[in-house]
Amino acid sequence: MFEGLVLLGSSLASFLGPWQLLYAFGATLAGIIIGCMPGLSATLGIALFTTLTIRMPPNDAILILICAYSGAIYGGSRTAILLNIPGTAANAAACLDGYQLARQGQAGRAMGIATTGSVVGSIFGIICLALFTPMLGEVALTFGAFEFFWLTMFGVMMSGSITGEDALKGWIMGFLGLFIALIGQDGIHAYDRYSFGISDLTGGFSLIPSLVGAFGFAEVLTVMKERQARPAIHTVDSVFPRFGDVIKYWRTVLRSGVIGVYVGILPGVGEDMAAWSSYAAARRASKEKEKFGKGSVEGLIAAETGDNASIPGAIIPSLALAIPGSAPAAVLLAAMMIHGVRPGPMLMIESPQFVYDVVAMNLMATVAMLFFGLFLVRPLLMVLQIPRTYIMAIIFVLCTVGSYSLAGRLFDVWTMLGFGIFGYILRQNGYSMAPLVLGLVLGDLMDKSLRRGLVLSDGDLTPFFTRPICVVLWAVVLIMLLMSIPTTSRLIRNQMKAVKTRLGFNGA
Amino acid sequence: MSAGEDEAKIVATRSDVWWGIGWFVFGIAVTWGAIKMDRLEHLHINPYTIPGLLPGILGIFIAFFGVILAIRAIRGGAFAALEPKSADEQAEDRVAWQRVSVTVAICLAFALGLIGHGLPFWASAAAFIFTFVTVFQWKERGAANQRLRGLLAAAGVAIGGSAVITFIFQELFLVRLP
Repeated sequence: MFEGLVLLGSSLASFLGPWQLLYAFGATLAGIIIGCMPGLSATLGIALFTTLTIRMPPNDAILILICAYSGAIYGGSRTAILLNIPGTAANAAACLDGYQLARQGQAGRAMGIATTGSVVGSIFGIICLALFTPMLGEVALTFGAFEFFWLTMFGVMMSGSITGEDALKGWIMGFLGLFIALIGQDGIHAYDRYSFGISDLTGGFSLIPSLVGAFGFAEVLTVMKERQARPAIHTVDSVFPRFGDVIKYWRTVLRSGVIGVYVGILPGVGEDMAAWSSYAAARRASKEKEKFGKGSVEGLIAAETGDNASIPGAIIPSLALAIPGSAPAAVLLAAMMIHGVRPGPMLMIESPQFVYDVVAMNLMATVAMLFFGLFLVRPLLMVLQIPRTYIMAIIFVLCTVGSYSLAGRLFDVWTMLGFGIFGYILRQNGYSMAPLVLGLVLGDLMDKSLRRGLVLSDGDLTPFFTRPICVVLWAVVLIMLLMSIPTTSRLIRNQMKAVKTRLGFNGA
Repeated sequence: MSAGEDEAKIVATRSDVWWGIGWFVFGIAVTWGAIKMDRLEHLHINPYTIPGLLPGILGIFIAFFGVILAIRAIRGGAFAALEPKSADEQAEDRVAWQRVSVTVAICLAFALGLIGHGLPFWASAAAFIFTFVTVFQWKERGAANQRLRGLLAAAGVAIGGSAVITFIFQELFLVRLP
C-alpha cells in the first residue's frame, strides 16, 4: 500500500517539469479540439499522436497520448451539447439531454455539468486504475497460454457483441482483424503467411497506418459524403462547473463511475457503451424519469461520468493483461509496445513504476481537462466555425504523413488508403470498426497462445476446456455464439422462459 | 414501422446476403490457404505449431458467420419486392456518390501521385489542400459570387496548413516526411 503511494508520488513528481506540463496541457487541448470536431475520433487522435511522438522519450510520448485520449472523450461533449452531434461516439448519450439544455438557453450550464461529470468520473476511474491494476496483474500471473487464448477470443467476441448494432457483423470484423494481424511472418517460425511473395507484406500490415485508414480516411469519406453541416448553438451562459450537482446526484455519479470502470475493463467495449449503460441505469433509478431526454441534469452527468470513468477502466486490462478495454486503448497499447514498454502480467514485476506513471498521467490529463473546462470554453467554440472542407483536407494530409512517418515507407501510406476505402465501405454496410481494431491488436497473442498451449499439452485440447478460468471464458463465448443462431437463440430464450415460469418469476 | 423504414430494412438485408456470400467465399479461401500452407516438416517443428493453424480456424469461423448472415437476411425478407426510389432520393444518392468519388480521386492523386515522387512535401500538401478546398467549395462560392475570395481562402489554408504540418512534424518532433 505504502509502496504504491511512494511510487505514485515519485511518478507525479517526475511529471511536474515545465516540458511535461506543456505536453500534458498541449495534448489535452489538442485532444479536446479533436473531440470537438464531429467525425474525428479519440482512436484517430491517439493514432496520429503516436506517429508524431515516435521519437520522443517513452514517458513523454505516452503522457501526450493519454492526455489526448482523455481530452478527446471530454471534448466530444461540446459538439453533443451545441450541435446535437456526438463529437466522438462516447458522447452520443450526452446529446439527449445536453442539446435539450442548450435549446433551453442553458448551453453553458450543460457544458459545466459535462466538465464536472468528466472530472469526477476520471478521478473515480484513476483511483480504480491505481487499485485494481496491481491486483489484476497478480491474478494474471497465474494465466497460461490456455487462458490467454480464451481471453483474446472472449475480447473479440465481447467487442463484436456490444460495440455495434449487429453482433454477427461485429464478430466478422473481429475475426477479420485477427486474420489480418496474422498476415506476414509468424511469431514462432518466421514463416511468411499470405504475403504472396510481396516483400512489403512480410512484416504484415502495420497497426497504426491500418487504424489511421480505418478511422481517419474512412471518416473523411463519410463526412464529405454529406452536403451540409448542422448549425450550432452559439449563445452560452456561465460555464462554471457545477460541483453542487455532483453532491445532489452523488448516487448517480457513484453508480456511473462504477459502471464506467466496469465497462471500460471489458475487452474492446468502449467509452460509448459506458456512457449509454450509465445513462440507462441513471434513468431506471431516477425519481425524475420524465425529465430524461428533455434536458435532465442527472442524465447528462451520468453519461459524462460514465464515459470518462471508462478511460482509466480501459487502461486497466491494457496494462495488466495486454488486452485493451476499448479501441483507443488498443492504439495506446500498441504505442506503448512501439516505445518498448511490455504491458502484460509481468509489467508489475518488471516495471511497477510504469503503472503509477500511467496513473499520474491520467491525473495530469484530468487537471488539464478541468483547466480548459473552466477557462477555454468560448475560444474552443470557434473550432466549430471552421468549415469542414478545411478540416478534412488537413486531416487527410495528417493521415498520410502519420502513416509514412512510423517506418518511412510508402507501403504504409498504401495500407492507410486501402483500409480507409475498405473501412468506409464496411461502415456504410453496418460493420463496426472497434472489433476490427481489437482483432488487429490481439491476433498475434491469440496465435502464439494457441500454439504454445498445444505444445504444452502435447496436442491435448482438454486443458483449454477444463482449467477454471478457461471454463468461464469458453462458456461465455459459446453462449454468445449460440445466441447468434436464430434457432438456438429462440430455443435458449424459450428454455429460460420455462425455467422462470417454473421458479415463479412471471413478472414483466 | 413506416414504409420507408421497411424499404431501408429490405435494402440492408439484401446487401447482407451478398456480404454473407462474400464472407463465406473469403473464409473458405483463407482456410484453403491455411491447408495448403507449408507445414515446415523439413525443419522438424512441433506439428502443433504449424503456421496455418489459427488462420485455418479463423477462416472457418468467418465462413460460418457469412452463412448465418446470409441465411438471416434471406429469412428477414431480403428478396421482398422493392418499390423504385423517388427522383429526389435518386438524385441525393447520386450526389453522395459523386462527392465520395471525387474525395477518393483527389486523395489518391495526392497519396499515390504526388507523395514520394520528388516534389517537396510542403508543396504537394499545399497543392492537395488547395485542390480539395477549391473543388468542394466551388459551387457554393460561385452561388455567393465569391469565387475569387474562395480561391484566396483556399490558398491561405493550403499554404498555412502545409507549413504548420511540415514545421510540427519535421522541425519540432523530428519526424521524417515523405
